[in-house]
Amino acid sequence: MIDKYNFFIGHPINQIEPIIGKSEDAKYIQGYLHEIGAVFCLEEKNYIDKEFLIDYSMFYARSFDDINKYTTRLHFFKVEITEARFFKIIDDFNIGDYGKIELEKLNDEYLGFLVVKPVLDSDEQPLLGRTLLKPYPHKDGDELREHLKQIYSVSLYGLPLKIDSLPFQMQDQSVGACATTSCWVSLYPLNNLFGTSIHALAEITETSTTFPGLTRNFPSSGLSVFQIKNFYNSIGLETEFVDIKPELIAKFADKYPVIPTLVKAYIDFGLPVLACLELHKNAPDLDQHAAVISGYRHKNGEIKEFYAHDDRIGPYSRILPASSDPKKLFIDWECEWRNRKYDTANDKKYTNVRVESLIIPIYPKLRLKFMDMYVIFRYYIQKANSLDPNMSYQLLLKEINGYKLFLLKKTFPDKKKILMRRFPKYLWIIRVCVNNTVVNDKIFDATCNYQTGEAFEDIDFK
Amino acid sequence: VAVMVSSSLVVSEKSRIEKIQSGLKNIKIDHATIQEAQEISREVSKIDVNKLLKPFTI
Repeated sequence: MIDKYNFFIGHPINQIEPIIGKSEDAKYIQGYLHEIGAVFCLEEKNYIDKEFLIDYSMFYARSFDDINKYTTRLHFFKVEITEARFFKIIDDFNIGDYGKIELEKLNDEYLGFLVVKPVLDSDEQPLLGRTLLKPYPHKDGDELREHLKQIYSVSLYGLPLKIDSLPFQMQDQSVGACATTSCWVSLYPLNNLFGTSIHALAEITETSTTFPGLTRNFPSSGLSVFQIKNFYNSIGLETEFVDIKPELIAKFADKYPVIPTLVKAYIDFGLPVLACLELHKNAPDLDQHAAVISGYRHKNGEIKEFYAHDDRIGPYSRILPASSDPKKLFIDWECEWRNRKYDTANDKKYTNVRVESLIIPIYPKLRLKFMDMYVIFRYYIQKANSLDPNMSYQLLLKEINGYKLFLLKKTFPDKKKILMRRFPKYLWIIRVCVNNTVVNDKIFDATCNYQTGEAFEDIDFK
Repeated sequence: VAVMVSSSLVVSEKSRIEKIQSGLKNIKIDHATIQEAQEISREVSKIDVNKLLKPFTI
């Protein structure tokens, strides 16, 4: 029997190792919590996590081992929460504005939560389930970070907290390997954009493997590209697949290389980008891994760093280009994988991390592919560059309602006529800026099969 | 004098932007670029089938 009631259990952040364990993910998360300023955590015992409950019912319930179906949830704060203060908030919540004021304060101090599953990995360390942590701050000196995120509601014993985040969870090979977890992460922003449903890891693996592979479905040995596509198709989405051929990418090498331009366009739209990675060894074979690119850091649009939700590392893991040569920008990654050993006995580390391909789950009506637009974008840059030395360019994917709201706040000729014109639901836009001020948007129909001519609208901003 | 200098700067910036905008209007996409875009798009969608069947195991 589990306890009927919970107690107030708080821990300083440097004392959570006995709960979250010593796995690589747990160590990374400890470090990340330190970076975002967490000092304290509240432990919520016997928490029912729907995601784990589904995995439990589809896999763990039929294990011989006595596996608990309840989890432990840890809530993180940037200040110490005393028992006296916490209980006063609950007791006096309904007195005047006290509850509202204290809740606002508590939300400001809240950094998110993580769920510890009652399951151990092969090193007998606890598996970390659904984790929603605040991302790195938007501003970093004169650079900015952009993350895929949305606001999630959290109830802590009735207190309505909020966290702006992208869900993460560590790999749980019984129900899904890296590609399954990447699909799971992607479901949250996709749900936000297109209303597609959320599924637990075991459900994703079960659906994906209706396209058969040679390896076992459960415990999962990993999904192939076909199985990933099969899963997205099953929830009514299409996939855009970009094979990263280094010789082709090198053709477009300068200030706007393929991978950063693609990541910026899709992340700004709110779409996750699945990176299929090759982990190179000092051996003829290589390992294959998948992770979700969830954000980037830039200075005036020039991308300096990516962030990834990697189920073998942690949330918001940092990725730098291994080479600053524009011909290779972000093809090879400098990231945590370079510190990982593929052969522990002989102390051998991975020698390189290379992007093999990118998969973007998209709404079927988004028909005009990134590469079709990218080549046209590059053509414009080539032709326009001689006009002024202070020009910069962006390739943007927009949804019509958000874009019309942007137009509403701008001054340009024929404003009424353009705003009252029928537009397609999705648009590709080539934006020209001078000293970071938008001067021109060339608008293309992203719902057409292929680009056949000029932009269907061309707006000069005052 | 300061007001006159600043307003003349605004006028010159405005005419500079207008010059850029009119230059951008003259850029037309040629047929060869559209064909190139479609070819490259096809190229990056092609992948070795054996690679597609190999699972991501790590």
